[in-house]
Amino acid sequence: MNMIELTGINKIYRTNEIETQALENVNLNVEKGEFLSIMGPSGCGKSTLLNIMGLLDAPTSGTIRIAGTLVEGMKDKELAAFRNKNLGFVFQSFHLINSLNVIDNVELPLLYRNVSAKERRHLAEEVLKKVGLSHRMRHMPTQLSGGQCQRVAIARAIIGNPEIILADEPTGNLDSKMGAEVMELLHQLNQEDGRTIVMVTHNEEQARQTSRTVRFFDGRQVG
Amino acid sequence: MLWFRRHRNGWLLAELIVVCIVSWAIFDPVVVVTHDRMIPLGYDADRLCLVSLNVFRPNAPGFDRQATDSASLIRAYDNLVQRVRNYPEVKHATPLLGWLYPNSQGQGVMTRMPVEDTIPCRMRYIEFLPHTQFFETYGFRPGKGMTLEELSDYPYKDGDLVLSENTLETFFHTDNPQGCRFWQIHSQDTLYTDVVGTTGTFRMYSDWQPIPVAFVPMNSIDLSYFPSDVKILVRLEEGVSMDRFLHRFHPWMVRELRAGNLYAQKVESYQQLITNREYKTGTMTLYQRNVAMAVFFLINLCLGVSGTFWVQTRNRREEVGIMLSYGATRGAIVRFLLGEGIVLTTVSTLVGCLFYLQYAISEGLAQGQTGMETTGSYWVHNFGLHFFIVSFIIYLILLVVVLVGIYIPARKISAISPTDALRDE
Repeated sequence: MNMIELTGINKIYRTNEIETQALENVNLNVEKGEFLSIMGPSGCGKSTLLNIMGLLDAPTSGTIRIAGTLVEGMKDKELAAFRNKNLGFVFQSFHLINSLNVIDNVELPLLYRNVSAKERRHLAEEVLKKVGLSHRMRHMPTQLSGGQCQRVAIARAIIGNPEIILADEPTGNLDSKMGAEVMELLHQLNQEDGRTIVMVTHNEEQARQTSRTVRFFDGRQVG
Repeated sequence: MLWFRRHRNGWLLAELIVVCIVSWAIFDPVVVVTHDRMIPLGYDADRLCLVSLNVFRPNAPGFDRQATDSASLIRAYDNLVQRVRNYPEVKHATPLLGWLYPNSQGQGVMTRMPVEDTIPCRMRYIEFLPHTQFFETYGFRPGKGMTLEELSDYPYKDGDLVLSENTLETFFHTDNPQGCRFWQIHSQDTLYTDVVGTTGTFRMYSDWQPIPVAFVPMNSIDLSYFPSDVKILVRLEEGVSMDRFLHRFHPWMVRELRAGNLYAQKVESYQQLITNREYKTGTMTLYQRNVAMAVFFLINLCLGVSGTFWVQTRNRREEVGIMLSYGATRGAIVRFLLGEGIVLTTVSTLVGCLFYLQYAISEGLAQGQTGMETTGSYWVHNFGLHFFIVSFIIYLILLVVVLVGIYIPARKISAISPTDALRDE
């Protein structure tokens, strides 16, 4: 079963003078439980593709089907609810809210569901335990190492129990040891929980550890 | 979330607390005086005008040497009043002698004791000539008992008084003048004064709350008022424009309105008289200055506080991008940011008002212009209610300013795509 189906995706950025084709006729299916890595040089459209998969950006043309649902024509409110329920994001620069402590950062996706404060707290504690940060719940992001921040971001990504996790160079800002810890955690989520993971990476070694790798060059899928 | 952002929010809170305290000091006098000015005047001044009279000097052309005696002067005065009454579009006209009338430059205070009481009661007084349409011309609201016509035509004896309703209520605790009497010691005699009627409550001065006022009938004309304090008060028919009337009346007055050695010198609308008095006493200037200060403060408040929140909100693009990524809708983002503003404003207003309360308890709240003890039970006299209402007004002002400062940038940053919001950081 395909968890993500991209058909004929094109993405063109237009300014008054320049037209840039970021993605050209991308057709890509990601199966349920698959760990897909996307590789390619900088500016080849990897992150754009990930944003389109994550419904954070809209393609210029083409259709997107996620978990069997055609997302075309969805209104902003429906898209937001769909993202909240089905997708979890892990960013290269973590994107934690520095003014909130770890547990409040992790709870964030549940604020947009009808989940009680008590339940939110309970679930946040569970996922933080899972990523090995139960002792850092009250810390602020600035008090954590890069690896710990990324683990908080992963906890935030999985608290809503989404089937798909989209990771944009999750180890890009980490040293090799911390990067390995994060990769181990992602593999654990893939293998033990059966979550579908799509990861953008520049790291060949990490890509080899995933179940499939697709390569992009100048907005086109080349392998 | 507000608590975790306490360092930044602490500064915002401190700013709002200071703004709240300053707002109290600036808005309280404006609110109180505006409240006082909004109390109904108690008579329709829009259709009243005042004709000032004068007498010819002995060497002036038209001076009548045969008409210099008091009887001639009084006859001439009566003649002029009659001619004004007969002028088209005039409903009533009454002679006005002296300087003791509503919104005049002068003032008279009398002291009387209600029977069965030994505490002297102070009140302003207005002199009037009976049988001259005085009450109808002013158009006071009638009180209990006699109509305005009956009050004007009542056969007053020496010492009789007409009180306004608030005066009667304050000194006799009734709205019925029947049986109400004052007493006073005069050369070892006890003199009694009967209250024979009432008018509705009115404001003696346009910028004051109602105060105790008595109407004193003049049973003879005091010639010492001639020539400078002799006037004719004129009430126009309903629907007649004052400006148009004065435009027509003034040339006629200059040309025709003279009798014996008496002539009409000036006519002005009562509203003009009120305005002139307010400027002469300085109350209008003070009020305008206070309002200007409040407006200036409000503009600065809008620029300062809204600007602060504007910048703070714009700086939260990354946070908004994260929220949008995890399922927040535009509406949820705007509501969240506005909610923060409401909590901050509410907390700071509470704290700021509590600080000001300490000052208000020792120094009191604004009292407006009323020089004598006012008789009304207005909320501005109730410390608790006054404090609550002004605090609430200040809260609403701050809330609007803060929410405007948040709403516009919040709408903008919630409308950008999450990828743009996250990319900029």
